[in-house]
Amino acid sequence: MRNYLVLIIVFIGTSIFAQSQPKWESQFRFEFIRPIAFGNNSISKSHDNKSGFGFNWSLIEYEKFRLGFGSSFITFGVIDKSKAGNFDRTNYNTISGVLSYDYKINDKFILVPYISIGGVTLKQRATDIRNSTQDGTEYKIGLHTDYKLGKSFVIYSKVSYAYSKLNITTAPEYEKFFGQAQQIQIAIGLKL
Amino acid sequence: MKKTILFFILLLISSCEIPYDGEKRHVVNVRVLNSDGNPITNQYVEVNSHNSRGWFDSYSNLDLITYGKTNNQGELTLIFPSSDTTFNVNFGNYYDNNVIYLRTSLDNLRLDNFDNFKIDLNPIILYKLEELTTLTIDLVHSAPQTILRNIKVEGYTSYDPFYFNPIPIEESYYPQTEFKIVKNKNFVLTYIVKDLNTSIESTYTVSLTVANDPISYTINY
Repeated sequence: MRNYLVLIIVFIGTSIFAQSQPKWESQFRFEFIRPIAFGNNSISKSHDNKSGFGFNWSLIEYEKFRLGFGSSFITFGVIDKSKAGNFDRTNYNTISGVLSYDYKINDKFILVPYISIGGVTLKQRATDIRNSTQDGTEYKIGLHTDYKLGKSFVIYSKVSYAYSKLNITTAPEYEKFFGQAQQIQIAIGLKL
Repeated sequence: MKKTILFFILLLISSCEIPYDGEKRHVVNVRVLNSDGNPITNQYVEVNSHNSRGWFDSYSNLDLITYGKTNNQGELTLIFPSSDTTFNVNFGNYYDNNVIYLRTSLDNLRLDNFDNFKIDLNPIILYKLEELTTLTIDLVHSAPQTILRNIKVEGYTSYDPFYFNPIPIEESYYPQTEFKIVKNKNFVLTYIVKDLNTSIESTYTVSLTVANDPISYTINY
């Protein structure tokens, strides 16, 4: 499934860029993320929402489309050790391919919807004692709202919906509980 | 030299962490009752894996991987990531000084004891300390060519630990000689004596009745 979606993103990207010459245009975003997990799953029910950070690096631009990659590092605190295990925290780390579109409202505001797909790793840790790892695929859709402060200095807010499908083998009644995660992610950041 | 020292420090630190497989989760369902058959609420239950924490923790050889307390039906579901080892399930907190029920342990639980990643321990009966008395076994070893292979107490007993799977008995085995037993009940004491010259093992069974007071029994072998 992940491979298909990567192909779709690459296909869309190359289709767009194939119509004329894309150009290398580096654009870097750095953001602080506040996740809001929801749904009947382990991340939502057995953890509390902490925070994290992420970055996004657009490398190729064609007209209003941008193609690049991003990564995020979010921490959730374990509150129900009977379900999540005797860990202190779960680190939710992703690396994704990102396709975005710049929709200019006026000289100050730009709306930037985007989609991304990539790998996610849940790393559970109890300080220097034990750890566990669970991998999966994250699909994300979201919207940046960029506000131009200076010639090359932009602040932005972001709202995203992230769905993760996680590798799991367990009792059938807990497959969905440990096999997926859903979040709304709210972020603020700087674009350089 | 500094790099070598740093390498060994990093190696030592990394070897102290116990890895679990987060992509496999095992489920333990428990239901805890008292001797009247009523559910015990708020009973602490934990699962430990027989993993050591590297060089530092080889002494204890146990790692607490999940824990919780029973609901008002005496039920609790504990879930933990997998590890290629054995586990024990403890009913009661070792560090709790206000113990009402005898702390009981189910040990040597293997992954192949789980049915489709799940095992139901239902019900587990816990006895209040005041309901129990003590059976002490006095060992008199008078025949040098014999060894005591095993002592088991069956019946209305509560002792620590109970093994899901039998553990291999070594020649150096030192038997458990103190058992907690429910007062005013009959029980069966079984023990095995092995003759080292002939390798013949003889099983002995004794029926005993306990009243309110602690009792002792002497095994001559």
